[in-house]
This record gives sequence, structure tokens and C-alpha cells, in this order.
Amino acid sequence: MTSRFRVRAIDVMVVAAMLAYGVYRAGDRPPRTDEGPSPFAQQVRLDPLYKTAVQADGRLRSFESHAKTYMGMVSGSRSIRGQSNGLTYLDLMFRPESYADTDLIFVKNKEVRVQILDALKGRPDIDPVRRDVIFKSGLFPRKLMTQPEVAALLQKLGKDLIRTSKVVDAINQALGVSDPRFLLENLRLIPPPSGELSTPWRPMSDVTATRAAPQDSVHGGMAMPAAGIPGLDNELQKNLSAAWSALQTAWRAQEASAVNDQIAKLSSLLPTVVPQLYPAEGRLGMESWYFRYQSMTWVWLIYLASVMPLLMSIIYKWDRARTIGMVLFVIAFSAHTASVAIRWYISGRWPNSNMFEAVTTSAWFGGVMAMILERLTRRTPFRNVFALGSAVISMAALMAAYYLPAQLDSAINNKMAALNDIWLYIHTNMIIWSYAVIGLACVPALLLLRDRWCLAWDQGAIPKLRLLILPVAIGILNYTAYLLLMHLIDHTGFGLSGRSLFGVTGAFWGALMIVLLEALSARGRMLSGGTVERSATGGASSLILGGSSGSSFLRQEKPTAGQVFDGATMVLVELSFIMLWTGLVMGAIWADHSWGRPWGWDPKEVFALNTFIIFLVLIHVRLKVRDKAFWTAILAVVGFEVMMFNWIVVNFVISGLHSYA
Amino acid sequence: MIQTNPAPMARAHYRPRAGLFAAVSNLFSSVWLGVFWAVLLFIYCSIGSALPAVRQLPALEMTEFEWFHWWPFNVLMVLLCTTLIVVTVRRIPLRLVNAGVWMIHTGIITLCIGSFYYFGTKVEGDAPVFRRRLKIEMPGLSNPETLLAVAGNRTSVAVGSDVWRIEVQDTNSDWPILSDEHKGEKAYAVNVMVTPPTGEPFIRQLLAGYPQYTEDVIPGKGRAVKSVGRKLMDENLQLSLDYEPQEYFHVMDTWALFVRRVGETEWAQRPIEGLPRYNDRIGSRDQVFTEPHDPLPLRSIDLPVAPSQAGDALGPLPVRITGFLQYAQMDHRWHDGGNRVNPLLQVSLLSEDARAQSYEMVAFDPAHSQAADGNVQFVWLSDSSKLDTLPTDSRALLHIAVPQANVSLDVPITPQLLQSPPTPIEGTEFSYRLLDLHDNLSLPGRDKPVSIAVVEVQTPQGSFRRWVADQPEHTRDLHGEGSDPHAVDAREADVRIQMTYQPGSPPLIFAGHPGGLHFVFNGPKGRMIERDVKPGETIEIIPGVSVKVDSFLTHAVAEEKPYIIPPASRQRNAAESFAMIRLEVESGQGVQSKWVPFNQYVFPDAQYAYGGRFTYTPENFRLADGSAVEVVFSRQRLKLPNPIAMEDFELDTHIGGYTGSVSTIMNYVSRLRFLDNGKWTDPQPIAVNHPTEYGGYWYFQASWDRPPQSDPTAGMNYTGLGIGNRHGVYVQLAGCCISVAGMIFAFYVKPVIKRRRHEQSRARISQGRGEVPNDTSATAVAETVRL
Repeated sequence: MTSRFRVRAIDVMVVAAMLAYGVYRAGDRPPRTDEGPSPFAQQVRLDPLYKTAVQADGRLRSFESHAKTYMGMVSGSRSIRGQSNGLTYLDLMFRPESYADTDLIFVKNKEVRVQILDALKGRPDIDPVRRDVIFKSGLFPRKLMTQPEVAALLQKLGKDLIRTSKVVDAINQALGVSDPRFLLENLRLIPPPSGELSTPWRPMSDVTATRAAPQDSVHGGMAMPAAGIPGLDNELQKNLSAAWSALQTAWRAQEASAVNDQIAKLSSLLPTVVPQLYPAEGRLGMESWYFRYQSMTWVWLIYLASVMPLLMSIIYKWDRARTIGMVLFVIAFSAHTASVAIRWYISGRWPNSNMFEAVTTSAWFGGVMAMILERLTRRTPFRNVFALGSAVISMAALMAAYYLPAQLDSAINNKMAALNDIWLYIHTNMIIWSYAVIGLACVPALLLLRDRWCLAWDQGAIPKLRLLILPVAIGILNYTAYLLLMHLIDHTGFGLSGRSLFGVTGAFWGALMIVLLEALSARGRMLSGGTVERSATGGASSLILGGSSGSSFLRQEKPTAGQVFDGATMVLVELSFIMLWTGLVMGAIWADHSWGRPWGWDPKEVFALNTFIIFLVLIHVRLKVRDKAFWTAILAVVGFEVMMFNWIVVNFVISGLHSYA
Repeated sequence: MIQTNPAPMARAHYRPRAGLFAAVSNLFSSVWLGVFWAVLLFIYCSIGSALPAVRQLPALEMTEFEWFHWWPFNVLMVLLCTTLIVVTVRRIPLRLVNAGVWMIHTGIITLCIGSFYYFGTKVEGDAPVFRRRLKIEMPGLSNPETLLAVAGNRTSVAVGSDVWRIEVQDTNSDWPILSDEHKGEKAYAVNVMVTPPTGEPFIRQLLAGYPQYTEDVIPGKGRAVKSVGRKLMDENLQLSLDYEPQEYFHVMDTWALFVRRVGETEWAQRPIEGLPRYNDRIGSRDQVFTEPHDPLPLRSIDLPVAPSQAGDALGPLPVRITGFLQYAQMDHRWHDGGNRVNPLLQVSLLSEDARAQSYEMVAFDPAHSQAADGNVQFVWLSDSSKLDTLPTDSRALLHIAVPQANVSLDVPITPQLLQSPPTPIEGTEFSYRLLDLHDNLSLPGRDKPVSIAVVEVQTPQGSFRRWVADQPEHTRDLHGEGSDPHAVDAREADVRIQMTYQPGSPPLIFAGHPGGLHFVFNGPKGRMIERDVKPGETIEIIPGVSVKVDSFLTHAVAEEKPYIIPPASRQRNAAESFAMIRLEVESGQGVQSKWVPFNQYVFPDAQYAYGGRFTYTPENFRLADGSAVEVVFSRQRLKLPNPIAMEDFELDTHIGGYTGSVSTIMNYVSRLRFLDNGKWTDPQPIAVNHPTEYGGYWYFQASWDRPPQSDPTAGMNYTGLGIGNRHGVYVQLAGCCISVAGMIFAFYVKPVIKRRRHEQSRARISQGRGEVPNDTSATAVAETVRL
């Protein structure tokens, strides 16, 4: 009993590494200098506007969703002055002058941030403290971005089509979008009186009559278009115009109560213009709520809460933790399900059209698989392992979406025309589902490796120092291999500079040597020595056979943890093996009838195939080796890494036909 | 206990054999060997996909497709399949329990065989299909003339000494029909500007599919049926819309030369094999412009290109490729020392708060004699005494003369003047009010642009509008309501009051003359600066803004060579669009070498490269007999079994319509007709994810003619189709299905079978012996189950 809660060195190391990484990332966050929302911003109630529709990019979205999309283009999903996106949108539009010095324009690439800051060197307002704030937040004031030295630098960087032109395009887009005229012109709030679907909606500026052209030599003789929207009821037009003008005046005067009145008035008038075109209030409200609360990515916290007790129950066999963990997992999964369902409802299509959706939906598929497997294995020693796997994967996916909004943009857009196909639908969902299952399989595989490590520690077959070094070396090996690969194939970033390249290469080879030597010397003792547990069977067959056959360890009173982890890994590996292969085949069917080529050797396809090859190797190696569990676990982790490489590096670095997933 | 691990059982079945054949067979029946091939395959795939630099090495020069069909890959696949077959046959007994693994392996082998066939016979390419062409018929014209229906295309049709000028003014893919029974339908409209030999120009509107609605519109006067009383201004001129059939498609990742004698219509194809794709090949640095620090490795190439079909205009003359550039553009650079005067000036405008801007001006080239949005001009004066003729005022002026009253005055045009009330002309009974200015209007059929000031003239008899031109013959008086000069009665100018409009001139003028370079600056208060300058000098125009003379050449000669674009400035998805080859033709009277840029398609003529959407840049070579041969560098093309015509093209959009962003588009639909036995089939829709098969080829929606941002109804004059075959795809599919079924069997059915058999044998043993099985009976069970 005492050994139950024994603190293991490997656990300490893993937790310490995670904490260190968290602290390191937290160091990147800018110090809080914002004074927070102004009293006016706090008093303004935008809630009525949350049920107001805006037409943009081929969608009718709620105002908050619209503001989130455009403010995302400007500040990369970073909150400005602690305000909501909607408030920033209106404030930027009505009082642009008060934003000249506000940190607003997001620059994604850190190297470009440095270059811009260097170009601004010598300005009195850029002292080291300010420089650090700007560098860490990535947000530059509009005024600085339009300085001649910055403009010249951006022009130069824009010419480098390989590395920096995309960054410059994004900056120019941010500058263009944050222009009050753009914000006004694209706030298309008024449905076309004709009631036609393909007619664009009209911005508020079309009902307000003051659209005088400058009277100079160029524009003097131009005939001005008649003010107002033809076909729109005059009375309504007048009311809309009055409300909008009053809103503008009150906003500029910072009179919150007047602003609130006009907002309420506007939002009650707008749905009456063409009622049959106006989307349901419930959907708009839901959309606003969804985006106000970070697209429900905070669900990762509930997953995190379920991970700890689940680990307790699995590693330390603590029954009370089991119940707590499962309850929390079910709550987290329900919330996750709700987020997927809400997104489905507000976008009108299954959420699987961009990177954000692919990541979160894939994790949700993992949850579905875990729920099914948990149900099937509820009376076997496998129970909770799948839930743990899903909790870990979903937590990681939602954390990524939560902390990297610039990379995983949660804005809802129409799906591309090419994605509109039933085969593609099945294909992409099958693939991301299989990816989630691969992720799930990685968790028991890692638990098994941890278990082996603890066995070796207890038996003393390998000096403890070497056992301590091994996981560190593996961590370094993985990280440096990733850096080197990125460096080798990088077309977009700046790669590694000479000195750090030297360091990373050295670390890589050093770690590789340690791991290889350890693997060679450990072969005789740890892997096939006394600690070896033979897993005669695993996977689905252990479940199916388990019921009555004497062959399975499931019949045994107390299977070892290693057997459970190995069996769980194999259940998941087999599932992912079939799903990935089927997904690939369906992709080929779609590709064949969509563009006449079942297989185009696109990097995305090739690495999906590569992932499959790893699992193919896994299944055959398992057939031949003596220590099946160990090599299965190793290869399951490798397969997961190849899959992640496909997902991250191939998506963001090697461009292919597949825009996501 | 039952051993459920299949390996020992398999080993029991497998027995190594002796002999050479047997040794190979033994080797290939190793599972480890199969794993080894799989790992090699993994590495090969990773290199090909993640490290394109490897396959693009000068020694390899492979596309992704070529890398994955290179012999090492094929060999690897053959070895993998062989191992798979041998292992399966020799190690896995063909029993029900093993059906899964047999099916998986059979499926994979079937897939490989299907893929060998599929990729071995794969033909894949693309072709643009234009929407309509204009057919021009007229009495006296022996053959109808044709003109591709895209905006800007023009032609002249001569019958006897009369010449009609015909220009496609614009197209509209979304023209609403307003007439009777077709009201509400949308059609593809082509507006053609016709300038007849006599009489006023008119616009003829043609609607695809509705020839009955063809009618003429007179600019400014509206429909001919209203103003003239008949639908067509000229009944003899017959314009109609025809399909523009596409007979060929180009094969992706290939190269070819196309040759024809100038004046001929048919191209003869010369396929090029062995031309690189990723690395430049040039014999010497002198052949190109590069960045000075560019290392530019020199690799030469000498590739003969042989004719492949009869009627090749270059016939047996030796044609070879002696250079290849992956990404370059023709560039010209100037140096002095030509035989004739060709003044050239390069200046930079510098200001404190912006980047320096450099400009190049050629005095004798009207299109390039001004720069910086018309703020700088370069003129050439035959001698320095003519410097006095330079304008002294950059402002626009209105000259007014009333001969009767002997009044003549110059009114400077200021923004205030445009808003001011009518100004009386002292000493006369007239007053004037400036309404509007239009500088540099291009008039149809006139070379020189016209600048117009619109003036309201008030006379004792009433007021009228006058369009005052800078060239007096274009000045007109307009009587009647409205501001549209075409809707009202336009007359010769009232001679009692004469006006001329002098548009503003550039404030900065450089005047070159044989003795040097002179500079004048006409500011808001007239002449501000006037001096001689030398190259390298900088002149401050106003505080903070200066102009620098970079170079001044009097006898400039352009040198034209390809400029190799530095890698950082290359568009990533440009593929071979900016490639060019150096072509050497030995015509019998010496060797001619020219750089020939790549064209995506070989078109009949330049009309098809419309609006910069495609390129059409043939190069001419002279033959010994003095005739010229033109050559296009493109991709190999194949004849389509059935020529294609596009009936129409439709864009399905999301709510709010197409805004220029792809996310507003729901689908692209082309409706195509195929020519079969001399007859067009019914239109067949081809949309994204919705291809059509005809005559052995599949047709896919691949690209479209995106309208310009300013006018969403323009564009859509052609559709881009992907075309390809797909032999063996069903074999591949069958292989995949078999393997999937096998996987499901192996993982989920096999354990069930095993469990049943186990239970059966258990039951049998218990029945037979009436006792719980012990260890010996377990062996019997194992034998029954026979994995």
C-alpha cells in the first residue's frame, strides 16, 4: 500500500520539464501595462448588437463575430485595452484618433518585430522597457507603423517573397482593416430591400445623407450618387439614419447612456428592414456568446482537471480518483461536444474547414472514440485508459487553440468550393478521427514506457544516473530533431543562425549517441532481461477473446499495468490503422473524381502515407520481436510524432494542396 | 495454455529450402526484409516530400511525380511486392483464420499493380476554353472574319476601299434580358464598337443564345431603335457569336517547341526531352543580367530539338537549346554610344519622409517621356536656343478671346475657380463659369489625347455649355438640358467668344540638348528654378524634396538580355511560368540565337493572351530565303478526341454575392459541349467535384477567368479545364477495398472465429472426457484451432 503513492523520479522530471516550459512561455507574455477598459467602455452595453447581423465574406454573422474576425486581422486576437472586440471595432471606427498611440497592429513574426524596432531605434518614445513590451506583445501602434523608416523597411521586406512578404502582407492588411473608412464600409448591416440573396447588404454610411465629395478640381464636376438606399422605406431610412448619427455623436462625446439608447434602437430597427432575410435571433446570439467566450477553448481546463485524477487512478490504482476523473472527463467531453455542436449550428456546416476546426473536431472525435471504448471495456482492466488518452489529447488540442489564436484562427468562414463534396467530407473526418486515435494510442504507450523505466529503476539493472539521463536525452533528441528538420525545410521563417545551428546540431548528435548507446547496452538487461513482460496478445483480439478464452490476460485476476497499457495501445493502433488507411483511400476516391488524380504525391498525402507505413512496420515488428509491448510503444510514439509532423510542419511550412488537417 | 501468438505457428509451417533459387526465396520470405523495405519506402517518401531540394538537384531535376516514378522507387515497390507475395505464400497457411492477412496482402499487391498501370498510362493536362468568338460577315467579304470575344480585341475589315473598325468594348457575363418572353433571364453580352467608314460609330450588343435581341446603341443617344427607328444602324454588317472550340490540351510537366512560318495558322510541334526544370543552364555570364553578387554556377546545355511532324517550317535545319533559365525576365539596360540620337534620362526623386523613387524617361517615346505621375517630363531640343519654348507656367489656363470687343485674357485655373459663380468678362456682355476639367481623354479613333474644360457661357441670348478643348477643332457648344454632351444637340462653337484650354504641364521639366541638360521648375507662382545640370547633381526643389540626375545619355542604346530574378523575389507558385530557353537556329546563313520565354499555352495569335491572363511571346527567326519563322516555347500538346466548346459559365455565390474573395464563392460551373461526329452534344455541366467523362478523357473544373475587382460582371470569358485519363483506377479501388476488408477481418473477425473454435473444442473435450481440460488437452485445443 505504501508503494502506491511513491513519487517516481521520471514523473518529477516530466512535471518539472512541463513547468519549465510553461514558465518559459509565460516569459514571452507581455507585462500587463494596460490600464484596462475606460469607464465609458465599461458602461457601454453592446449586448443588443450581439443579435445584429452583418453580411461579410459570403456569410451573415453576428456583430461580435464580425468584429472578432476583423479585429483578429488587426491585432491577432489580442485584446485591446481589455475591451471586447465589438467595442474596439466601434471605437476604432468612431474615434480613430484615440488609437494612434495604442498598441494595435499585430506582427506575427518575431524576427520582423526586431527589425521594425531596430528601424525605430533612436526615437525617444522607444526606450528599452517600451521596446520589450512591444516585442513581447507583438503589437505596434498605428502611428509607428506609418513612420517613413518603418514604411521603407516594410517595402524592403515585402520584396522577399520567400521569407517575409507574407508578414508584410498581414501588416498591410491590419493597417487597411483598422482604417475607420474600411470598418464603416464593411459594416454591412442593412439587408437589400430587394430581398435577393446574391445582393450585397449595405453599410450604414449608405443611409446617412452626408456623403459630400471633396469639391476640388478633380471631384468638382462629379455627379454625386443619390444618398440613401433605393427601395427602402423612407420612414425607416430616416429612423436608421437618425439613430446612426446620434450613436456616432454620442460615442464621440463618450456619453454611455445615450450610446446605449441608440444601440438598442438600431438593433431593434435593423431586423425589420427585410425580415425574411434576417437570420434567427437565437443563432446570432449564440454566435456572439461563442466568440465572447474564446470559442469555448477554455474547456481544456476541465480536461486538465480530469487528467490528474485519471492518472491517479491508473498509475496508483486509486478508486476514488477513478470516479472523480471519469465524472470530470464526461463533463469536459460534454462541454467539448457542445462547442462542436454550437459551431456546427452557427456556421451551418460541420466544423471541419480550417485548422482550428480540424484540431478541435479531431480531438472531439478522440473523445467519441474514448467514450465508445470506455463503454465496451467498462468491466475490464482497460477502463479509464482511453478516457485518460482522450483527456490528454483534447486538453493539448484545446490549449493550442486557446494559446495560439493567431495560428489556429477560430473565425468562421465559408468552406472552400472544393471542400463541398460527400467523399471529401468522409475522407477528412475519417483522417482527423484516425489522427485523434493515433494521439490516444500515444498516451498508454508513454505510460508503458514509464512503467518500464520504473521497473528498471526498481530492479537496479541499469545505473540510476543513466536512467535519469535517458529521458532527458530523448527529450533533447526530439526537440533538436524538430528544430533541425524545420531548419532544413524552412522556406518561410528565418531558420537557425550560425551559432545556434551549431549548438542544436551538437545537442542533437550528443543526445542521439546517448540514446543509441543506452539502447544497445540496455538491450540485454532491461528489454529482454528479467523485467520483460510478454504480452501474448493485444488489441481487439484481447478484448474479443477475453470474454471466455483462457488465453487472455483479461481473465487473469490482476494483469500487470504493462499488459493493460500494451493492450490499450494495440486496440487504438488497430483502429487507427484501419481508419487511416480507409481515410487515405477515400481521399484518393475524392481526389480522383474532383481533379482526376487519386494520388498526387502531395506532401500532405505522402506524410499521411508515411504515418501509415510506421503503423505497418509496428504491426510486423510486433509479430517478430520478443518484447512486443516495448517496441509497440516505441513505434506508437514514433507514429504519433510523424503524424504531428504532418499536422504541424507540413501544414505550416511545406505548403501543399491540403489547406488543413 | 493456448499460444495465440501466430509467429511460432507460422514458423512451423515455414521450412527453409536449399539451392540458389531457394536461397533467394528464403531471403524474400523474411518478414524483417519486408519491414526493411517499408522503412526504406518511408525514407524515400520523406526525402521526396519534405526535402524537395534533393530531387531538384542539377543531377536529378525531378518533379514530385518523376521522383515517385523513378526507377529506384519502382525497384523498391517491386521488391516490396515480391517479399509480400513470397512471405504470404510460404509463411501464411491459406486458412479461414488467415483470410484477413491474405486479403490485406492481396489488396496491397492489387493496388500496386493497378497503380503501375495507372501511372504508366497517365496523361494529364489542361486547356482553356474560351466562351465565344465574333463572326463578321458582310457583302463583298469572301470569308467571314473572326475575333475572339474578349474586351479590347480589335480588327479592321476592308471591303474595297472601305474600312470598318471593329473592337470588342466589353463583355458582361450577367446581362439581364428585359424583353418580352425572356424577361428575367441572364445572358452573356458582348458589346462591339463599330466604326464604319462613314457615319458615326455605334455599339452593337450581341447576346449569346439570343441572336434575335442583337441591336445597336449609339453612344450618347441610346438605342438605335429609339433614335433612328431601326434596330441596326448597318444591316449589311452582320455580327454573330460563335463557339470558340478548343481542339488541344497541354500535358503537364512537359516541354515543346512550336514552329510555323509567319502568316500561317497551324503550329508544328517539336517535343523537347531532357530539358532541366529547376536549375539554370547557361554557357557564359554574358548572356544574362544578374545581381552582381550572384554566384551563378555555370552549367552548359546543348540539346537538339528534332521535328516530329511533317510541315515543320524549320524542316531539317539544326535547332538546339543552348540555355535554360528557370525564372527570368527579359530586361533592357542602356549604354551610350549608339549611332542615332536617343536621349535618355534617369532621375531620382528624394524626399525626407519617403523612399527615393527612380525614374527612367526616353524623350522620343511618348509613352515614356513623363514620369512620377506626370510630374516630371523629359524633352529633347535640337539646340539650346529653343530653351525659351519651354512652358513657363505649369498651371492650367483658359484663354478667352472676344474678337468684337478686342478682349483677350488668360485665366489660370485654380480649384477656387471651379466653385466660383459666373464671372463676367469685362468689356463684353458675356460671362463664364468653369464647371469641370477632363485631361488627356482618349477619343476613339484619334491618336492624340484631348483635354477638355467644361465651361458654362452666358450670353444675352441665353446660356449654353461649351466643351473647350486644347485642340480648337474639338471645341463644341452644347444646347439643351443636362450635362451629357451626347444627349443634347452639339454644335460648332459660337464664334463670338473663342476659348482654348491649355492643360497644366509637368512642374519639373528636363530639357536635353546637344550641349547638355537644362532643368526648369514651374511652381505655383510660375518659373521657380531654371539652370543647367550635370549627371550626379542634386537639386533641391522645395525644402525637403530634391531631384537627382542619375544619368543622361544622348545616344542611348538598349541592351536586351534575360535578368535572372533572385530567388527571394520569385513567386512561390509560379512553377515554370517564368522559364525561358536560348534557342539556336542554323539557317544556312549563320547561326541565330534568341531567348524564347515560356508560354503556358500555344495560342493561334495574341488575342488569346487577353488582359495579361496568359502570355503569348513568339520569337522570330529568319531563314536563308528571307522568310520568317516564329517559334513558341510551351508544353507538349495533344489533340482532344472531341473538341470542346463552352456554352456558359456560372458562378454560384454565398449570401451577398461575389466580392472578390474566394470565400464568397460556392461553386464554379462550366457547361461544355463536345463535338461528336460533326455535331455538338447537349451542354454538360462541369463543376468543382463534378467532372465529366467524354471520349476517354475526364474533364475537371480547374481555373476560371476571375473578373477585375471593379466589375464583377466582366471576366468569365473562358474556363480552365483539367483533362486526364484514369486507366486502372478501378483496379486500385478494388485493391483498397480488399485490403480494408482484410484489416477488419484480421483485427475483429479472426478473434471471434478463434474464440468460437476454442469454445467448441473445449466443449468437445469436456464432453468426450467428462472432465476439465488439463495441459495435454490444451495441446489438442491448439491443434484444433490451428492459427
